[in-house]
Amino acid sequence: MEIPLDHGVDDINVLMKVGAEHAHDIDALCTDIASVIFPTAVNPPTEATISAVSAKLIQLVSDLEARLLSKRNPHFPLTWDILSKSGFLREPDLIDFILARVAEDRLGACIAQDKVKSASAYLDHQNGILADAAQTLLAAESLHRSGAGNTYLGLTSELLYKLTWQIVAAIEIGEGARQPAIIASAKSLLSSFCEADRAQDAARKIVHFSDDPTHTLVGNPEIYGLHLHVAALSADLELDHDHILRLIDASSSAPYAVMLAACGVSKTHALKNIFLFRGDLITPREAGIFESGYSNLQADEALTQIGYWASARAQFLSGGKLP
Amino acid sequence: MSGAQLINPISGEVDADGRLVSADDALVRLNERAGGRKNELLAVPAIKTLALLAIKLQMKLSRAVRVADDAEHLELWIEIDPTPDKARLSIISWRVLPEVRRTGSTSAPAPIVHENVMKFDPVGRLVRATGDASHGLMPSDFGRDGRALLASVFEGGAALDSLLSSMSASIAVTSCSLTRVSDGLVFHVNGGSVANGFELQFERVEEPSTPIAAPKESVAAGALFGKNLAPVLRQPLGRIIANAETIGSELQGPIRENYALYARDIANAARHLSALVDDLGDLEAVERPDFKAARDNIELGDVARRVAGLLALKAADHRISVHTPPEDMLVPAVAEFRRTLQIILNLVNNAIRYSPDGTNIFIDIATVDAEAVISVRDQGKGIDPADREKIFEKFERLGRSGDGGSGLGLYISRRLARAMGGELHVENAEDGGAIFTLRLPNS
Repeated sequence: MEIPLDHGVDDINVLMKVGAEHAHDIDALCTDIASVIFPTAVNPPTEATISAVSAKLIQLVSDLEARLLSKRNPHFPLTWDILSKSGFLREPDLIDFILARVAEDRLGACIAQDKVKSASAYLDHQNGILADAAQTLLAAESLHRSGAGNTYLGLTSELLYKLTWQIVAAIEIGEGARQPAIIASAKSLLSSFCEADRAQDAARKIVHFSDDPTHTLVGNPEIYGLHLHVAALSADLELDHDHILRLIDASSSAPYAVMLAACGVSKTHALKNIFLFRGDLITPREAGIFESGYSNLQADEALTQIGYWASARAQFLSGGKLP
Repeated sequence: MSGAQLINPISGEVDADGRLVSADDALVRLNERAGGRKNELLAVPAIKTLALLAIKLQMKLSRAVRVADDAEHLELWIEIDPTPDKARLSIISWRVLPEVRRTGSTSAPAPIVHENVMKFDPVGRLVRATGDASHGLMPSDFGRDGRALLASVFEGGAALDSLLSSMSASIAVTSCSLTRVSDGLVFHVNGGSVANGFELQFERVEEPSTPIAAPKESVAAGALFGKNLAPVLRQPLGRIIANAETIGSELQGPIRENYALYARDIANAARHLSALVDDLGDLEAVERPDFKAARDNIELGDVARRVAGLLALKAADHRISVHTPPEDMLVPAVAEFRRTLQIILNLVNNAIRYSPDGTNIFIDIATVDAEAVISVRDQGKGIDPADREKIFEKFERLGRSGDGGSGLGLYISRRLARAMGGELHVENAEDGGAIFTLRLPNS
């Protein structure tokens, strides 16, 4: 935590303020040191991941703030300091969302986009809902590729709602007064937001309405693209889209292999998919474990195991503690 | 999935308290089959939750929802448009799922027929121990990782490894024999997935397998490196590799070129150390006096093709072709599949590492003198006759360094081959390359 040390000598409450800040800081220090000495993740975060998460978080808050204020702060989000001190920005569902976006970027880059049919195959489909969903997916992917400015459109309804009102509150604290115009702007944003326009929801809709068997989409990410691949896994395994992205991007290929086994993907296709997303990250040892274990893994056993992952994640995201 | 998009969407309205205030017939029937009635609380939890969420957020939602009918499992696509006091539902698709897949274990829950039981929660922590199975356990052991606990209570070995693997994968365990470290008692262990966890039943074998003079220390307790140190070392090494790669790839911004090269050197060195950690873990295992390999019925052509598939990308990087035996050629052997795979992976990895780019590697199989034989032949410069035994010695590198090898791979491979009742040796081919030959029993 950053301690402001610029209290003026004229401030009559300076002693009280500095005292309160440092009193709070001893608690913060306690949790910070504990997490450094006793990291809980087997694979600690890399500098690259921390940097990517941080950049995306700043971008997200900045974009949403700009939408609410109708102007962009040129340097840094105005509300950053208040939000970070409130603890909201470290809530597990928000960090999980950002990590899923980091995973999405990395995994998306593994697929040669010029060969991907993605949703374009459904654009002329006779089922209007399917064609519309394909159009939505392509638009969302294009919006994502075009860069910053509207990253909040990728949030779930629940997260957008939470983050929007947190930012409104932070602006009001910063300004020291109610901000009716900003509240109106927030209401307008939320009422006009449609989560069906997000890439993952459009992809899930395609999987639901398409008559193509899900295992075709699961087995061929290089043809159908990342979103349809993950949406098909999500439909088959009853796992959340972002959960699947993070599992594929885990530091071992084993979770992905278990998911593919649960979907009944052949070993050849599973190996092809794993190489597609992980390439030279696979060690011979890991490859050996896959080779000796995959064929023996029954789909039902894998599915049962995945059920535990889903419930553990739900517990973690709701409570913020590892089950 | 079967069923289809609905021509006329099924509509309904849910108020802010979760009551179904109006609905088309299909939704009414679905609600009734779930035990609800019109103008009462909606009895389909997934739909009710979504409706209340839309009202709370005042945002349109459009999601797939899975619900259980009395006879079927359904996936509905629901669009919800909220007003401040109610949510208008529109079900635009009604699909019947072909089968119920997520039912936990497909087999019936195992009845508890023994008093001696250990039960673990879904993430593997010990939650209950009864009868003789609780002997020696402390209150603080409850809530601990069950696999670590079992590894400290019972002697290590293939049976314990198999049990722990089965627990990790939630696979049923049948008649696994374990010896308790503290008193030398032998138990037959059975178990499998049960509702909300995993359960093991312990049946005591009356006579101890060997006379016990005094409580003895577990063999596994001596496994200092593989079980204790290796996981501790892997974590910082993983961090070093990741951070050095971050610096080397200049993700945080440009740095001086020689600094980027240093960072890549650090990453490579740490990767080498990480491989060494793996090797030392294996080394410790194969040097244990009680090390035994399983006797699986395997087919060497299958092993050859799997290895070629796994190393195809690495070989392609060096323009090396790996040739495997024809599919119709079958050479059965009796050996542990994973260990055989490990040996051949090691041999082909070495062949790729030390062969000139653009050459060929041949994996051949045969049955010779009632033995199953698999050989790996490369087109490198071969092994000097004086070094042919030396290369199987521990940490022997034949003067090489900096190529990522630890000098343990061949030593471990030969120990593994011998543990399976086989042998591993090397000779030179007529054209000068090396031929490593693994012989295994075939019956």
